[in-house]
Amino acid sequence: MAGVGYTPFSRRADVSTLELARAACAAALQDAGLTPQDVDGIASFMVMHDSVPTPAVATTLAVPELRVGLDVDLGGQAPCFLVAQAAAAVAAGDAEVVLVYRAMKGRSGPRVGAMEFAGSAGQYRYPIGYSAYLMYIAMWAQRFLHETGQGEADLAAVAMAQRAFAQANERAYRRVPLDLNHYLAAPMVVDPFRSDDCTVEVDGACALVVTSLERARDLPHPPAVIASGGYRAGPRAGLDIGDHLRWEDYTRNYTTWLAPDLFGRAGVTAADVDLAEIYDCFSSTVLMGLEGLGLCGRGESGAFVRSGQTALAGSLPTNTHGGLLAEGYLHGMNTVTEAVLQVQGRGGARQSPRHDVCAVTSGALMDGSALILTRDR
Amino acid sequence: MIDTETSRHGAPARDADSEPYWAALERHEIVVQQCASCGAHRCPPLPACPVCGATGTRESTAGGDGVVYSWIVVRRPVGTVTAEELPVTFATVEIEHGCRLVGRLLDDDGSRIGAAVRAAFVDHDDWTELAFRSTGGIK
Repeated sequence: MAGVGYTPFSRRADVSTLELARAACAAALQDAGLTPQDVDGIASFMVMHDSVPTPAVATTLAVPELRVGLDVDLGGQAPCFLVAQAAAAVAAGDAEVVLVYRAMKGRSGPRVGAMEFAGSAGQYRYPIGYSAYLMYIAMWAQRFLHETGQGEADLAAVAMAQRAFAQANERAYRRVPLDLNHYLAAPMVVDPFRSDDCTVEVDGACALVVTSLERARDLPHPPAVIASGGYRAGPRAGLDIGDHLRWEDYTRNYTTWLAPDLFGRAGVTAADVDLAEIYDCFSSTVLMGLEGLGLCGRGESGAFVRSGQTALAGSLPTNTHGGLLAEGYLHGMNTVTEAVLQVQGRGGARQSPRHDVCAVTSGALMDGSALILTRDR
Repeated sequence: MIDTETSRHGAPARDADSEPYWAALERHEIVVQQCASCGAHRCPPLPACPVCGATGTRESTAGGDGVVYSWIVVRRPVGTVTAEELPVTFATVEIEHGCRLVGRLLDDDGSRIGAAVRAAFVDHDDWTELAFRSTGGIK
């Protein structure tokens, strides 16, 4: 990956979703030292038609010809998967320069967390009011905390650690410092989550550029190398992203299923990982991701975060942009762009001192994707 | 106990797969499918077995006893839950044969993971909801 681009994150964008997408993609190309004339592939995702498709962005950017146009109907499971698909397209010779973006009016427009997802499993949820993504994640989190012997102090530690990072990130939506008293003083929204455990929805877009390593080496920034990437839906992943009834173990998400292949194909182990960007629509998914990837032991993620290991000075800086909890809900696309910046060494005041190997994830429950990124060695 | 209520959130969008399930709830029964090939149980219904893929299916009725696998309490308006409904407790309940279903935990008495519950059939105008009530035990 050669560059990244962002629009501002706001409560209400005064431009169209198409313009958000265009602006983020144009910024990513400029960052990478490329132009729309170089682009021949675009990939993106949307939920319930809440964004603009890739040919629309190609049209608006005046891309001469699109050889790969990939639009997937996925949620937060998509970003790492799309990057892996873009890399595969480049490796196969199907495209040379692929933009990957997410554009949404997640605050002022359709809110993913409150959407009624298509699919026949909705008939068992929506008539009883079991109707928000927050509720499904909370249902897993309660079981996870119960079985692993963890609790609110562990969730709080995630929110506080990420808020500390957000103070070094001008783009972050939530930058007010958070301590345990403030965290605990907020009312419960859905047990076990208080407001600081929940992502903050924003309007905005971000994008990144995937190209061959050979070409990336000639571009302005050092490349963030895609060492491996993959997607997993574990067994009986359900009929839609809110259908968890047939998933056996709510204490282990897709990361448990994906980790061996992810590390194996990258030729690294969990012990080699210098920093992590873990998808965090809610705080519990960070704990579950750290454990699922084997970055800490089973039931040890809370203590790991509480002891400062995920802070900038810790052994595994994690969610260095503040995460979706603090930077804002760009649906995990901003989780990947942050990983690119970190591996490139462009993190500024929040730059991880060690950034040779970075683990990135997309998704929270039954299915999701992940990447191992490395510096060019 | 018979529960009747006005539905706040609309009736379920029944389909060919689910019709026997909803029809059974109207009789205050829980129908469970069993794979004729591998014997795995499933509920809610699916057109084929999610364990082995076979389509051959038997139907049986599950008893109303269950155990709370997980739970949440909605304390602020989220999704379609309105302020007037708060708080609402939803439980993922493991019923007979190991199938899991989500329902409201009525008269929440603080029963949590591992608590014994029993099905409570709530009749709405044009459908019947599967909810649960604590029986005061732990399994």
